[in-house]
Amino acid sequence: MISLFLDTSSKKLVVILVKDKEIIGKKELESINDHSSYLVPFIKELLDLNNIKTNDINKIFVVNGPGSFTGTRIGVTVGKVLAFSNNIPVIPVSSLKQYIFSLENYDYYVSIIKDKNNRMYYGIYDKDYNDIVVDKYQTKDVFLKDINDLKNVVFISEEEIDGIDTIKPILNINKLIDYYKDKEINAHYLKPNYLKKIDAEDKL
Amino acid sequence: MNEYKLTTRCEEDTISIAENLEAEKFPGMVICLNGELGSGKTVFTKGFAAALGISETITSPTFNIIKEYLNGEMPLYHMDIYRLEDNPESTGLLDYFDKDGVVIIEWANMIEDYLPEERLDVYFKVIEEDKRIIKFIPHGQKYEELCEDAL
Repeated sequence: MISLFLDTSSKKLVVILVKDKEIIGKKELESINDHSSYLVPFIKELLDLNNIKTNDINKIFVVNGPGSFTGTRIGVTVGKVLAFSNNIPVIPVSSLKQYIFSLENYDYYVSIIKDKNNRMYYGIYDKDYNDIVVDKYQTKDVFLKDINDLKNVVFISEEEIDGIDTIKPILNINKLIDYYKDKEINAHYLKPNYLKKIDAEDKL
Repeated sequence: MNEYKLTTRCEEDTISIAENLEAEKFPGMVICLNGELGSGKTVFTKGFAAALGISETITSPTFNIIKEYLNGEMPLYHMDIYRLEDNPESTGLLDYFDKDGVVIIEWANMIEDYLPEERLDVYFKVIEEDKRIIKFIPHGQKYEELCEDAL
């Protein structure tokens, strides 16, 4: 099975090509504001290097957010067009959840992306990696309430967070593919998941 | 929170202030310009851009909403919210606060809820034809130091 993984939701651009559980190509670019210039050439480069045609790809995994407004749309658009034009199933992946699969033996996994103004994106997942709290964008106070009672929990965050022990995010692409592989959707339904609005309820 | 007030008597004075602020620039800097039409917001921005080494002519982004100038020492993102009708969250404008350039926003008070808490607010008041009183309110330590050093 040949899988293509795309993540343009943050400043770091990631493209990974996997064939039968082996990473046969990977491109990463940090801190660029130009995902749209690099994404397609990177994909082409990885395919060409491995003599693979676009219609040989079996599944396309696209990180559709949360994250940058424009960034998420770049990955979603390219993924969608590739999928639709080659009749390949596409699978949306959460930018938060993508990092929990490199860990195991916890009862709770919490993945966090820190934003400005004391706000954060986060998701809380159970020991089987299933959603407990689906990706949210909230203030730190609400976050602390949500994590209050969790035991045997691990917190994943690129940036340090005051008062919480966090570990850096690491991507285990094979375990991610294993978890997500049947969650295919019709390419037309692939949308960016851009969360910015704070829940009105939680603000009260 | 400190306020800084300066009086300018001609465009060159406004440009001079902009140059002093530019000298203390840092990636991710956000400057919000508020004031009536013709009060000096775009003059300020022109001065800032020239100090950055941007050779392109700076024009008001009233109709474009956002203009990017990428060939200076640091990218300059010049926004004018005056004509924005959509919710800023549905436009991608907020991404600019996470980039590594300088963001200058005219009519920023129109999207007050969406602005980063740390920023420099500047208020232009027209006194006479060429005379302005410019008020600077820094929010956040980086901006307080910026004002202490540059103004």
